[in-house]
Amino acid sequence: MGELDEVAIIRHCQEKDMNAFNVLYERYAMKTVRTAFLITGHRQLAEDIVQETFVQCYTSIHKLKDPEKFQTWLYKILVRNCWHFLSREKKKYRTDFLDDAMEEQLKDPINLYERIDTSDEYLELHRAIDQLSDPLREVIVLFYFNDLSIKEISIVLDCFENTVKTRLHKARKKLEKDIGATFRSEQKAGEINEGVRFI
Amino acid sequence: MKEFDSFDMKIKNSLEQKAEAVMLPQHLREKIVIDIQSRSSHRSTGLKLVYEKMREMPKKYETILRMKKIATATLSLMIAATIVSLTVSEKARVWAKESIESAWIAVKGENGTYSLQQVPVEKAPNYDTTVTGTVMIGTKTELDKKNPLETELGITLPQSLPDNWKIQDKAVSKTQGNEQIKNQLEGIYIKGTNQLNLSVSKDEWWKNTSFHFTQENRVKEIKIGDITTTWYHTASPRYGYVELKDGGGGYNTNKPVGVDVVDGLSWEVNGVNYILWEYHDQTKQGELTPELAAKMAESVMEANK
Repeated sequence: MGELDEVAIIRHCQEKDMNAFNVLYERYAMKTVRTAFLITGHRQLAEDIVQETFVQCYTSIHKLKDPEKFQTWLYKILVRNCWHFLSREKKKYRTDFLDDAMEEQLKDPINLYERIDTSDEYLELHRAIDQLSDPLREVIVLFYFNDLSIKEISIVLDCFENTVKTRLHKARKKLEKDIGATFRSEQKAGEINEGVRFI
Repeated sequence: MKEFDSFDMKIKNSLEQKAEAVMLPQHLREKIVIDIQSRSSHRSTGLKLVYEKMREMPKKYETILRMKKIATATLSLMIAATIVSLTVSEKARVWAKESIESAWIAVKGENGTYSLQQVPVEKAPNYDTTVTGTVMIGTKTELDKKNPLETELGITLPQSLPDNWKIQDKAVSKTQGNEQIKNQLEGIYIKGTNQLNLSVSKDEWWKNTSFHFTQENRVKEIKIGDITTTWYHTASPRYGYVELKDGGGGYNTNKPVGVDVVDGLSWEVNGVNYILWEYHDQTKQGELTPELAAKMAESVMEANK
């Protein structure tokens, strides 16, 4: 089963072939758990979300007309479940993942620019990403972690591509501001950073 | 291919670094499979068949079909009303978080109508049963044959029951309770748009489900020859189901949307337990009466002499 291409595996899944479903699970489980974790910020919630997502995947896969769009379709279910679970657990699970040592480092008033060049930069970014609003964090995660295109993200989030671009732009600006990255140039509203090109 | 500048790479690396701390939970796949099978078993109670039957009905039944679809998709008579137990499936546990201090029950009023009440969770019945591994039979060819579990139990599900009820499907499922997994055979009988279930098992699994077929809900005993049957009557909250668009699935509501009444007749012959049951919205009239149920039980006993 593992040697079949994904379209064939999905076709088998649509016929309720559990072996095929297991193959899909193996391919996507880790990524979806990590995506849900990055979006929600909580491990246990991420597990519950992914469980629900795969169950819905199995029960609804017969409705997927184009198996080549499976990944986008799966992420769409995943993100919707993130919304649903988050809306019920709002703020309950938005915990700070940084331990005491990391907290201390962040309080250190040393020049932020210098800190960017040290291992603390990732801590800064972790915190800054965590502080983003849900919509901004979602696009950041889907774009950078899941490597989806703007078009794919617009399908997942069920919004216009311009909306995705705007959110990405806002998110990056906010991250830059939060970690004090002063070396970035000013951008016009709605434009994507010239360092990033979208295919 | 995306071309990232250094800041974009930092964002990407940061996310990947953070994500690496999360590993795939153990047993997640098993939980998913159990969840799939348990939801499939909801349909195995025959309401899916009712839908199919009702699709052949005139348009006037479409509203009923839609309401039953919403009600039935989430009605978990076999899964311990989820919100009252923290020991059932992961899905139930998530629901339970929503109102961890309280649960819903159906309470009978003086006029005989049930109303929904929220009570402290410790005052609600606590059942721990998950139905897994249900397999529907469905085809006429298969229905005519004897199912392996029928052979194992030494029984035959009759093709019909008195008062023009015909078998539409058989289902085999495992019921996982507090103790051990038990096998259960179910015959689904249809008359018009109504449905009855005849569940057969070597264990009295239904006592652990939200059917509430407990001592408290016994109404009376009915003798059929040498065999004593017991008539039960109970009620259970019914939860709504919100379906997401584009086939992304759905989720159950946390607050019940109505009350279902459940009536049943149970008996035991040669170590095999039977229960004939029907559930319906309390605002509608059910088909199963104690007298009809006794007549049906007698026909099942006759078929298995």
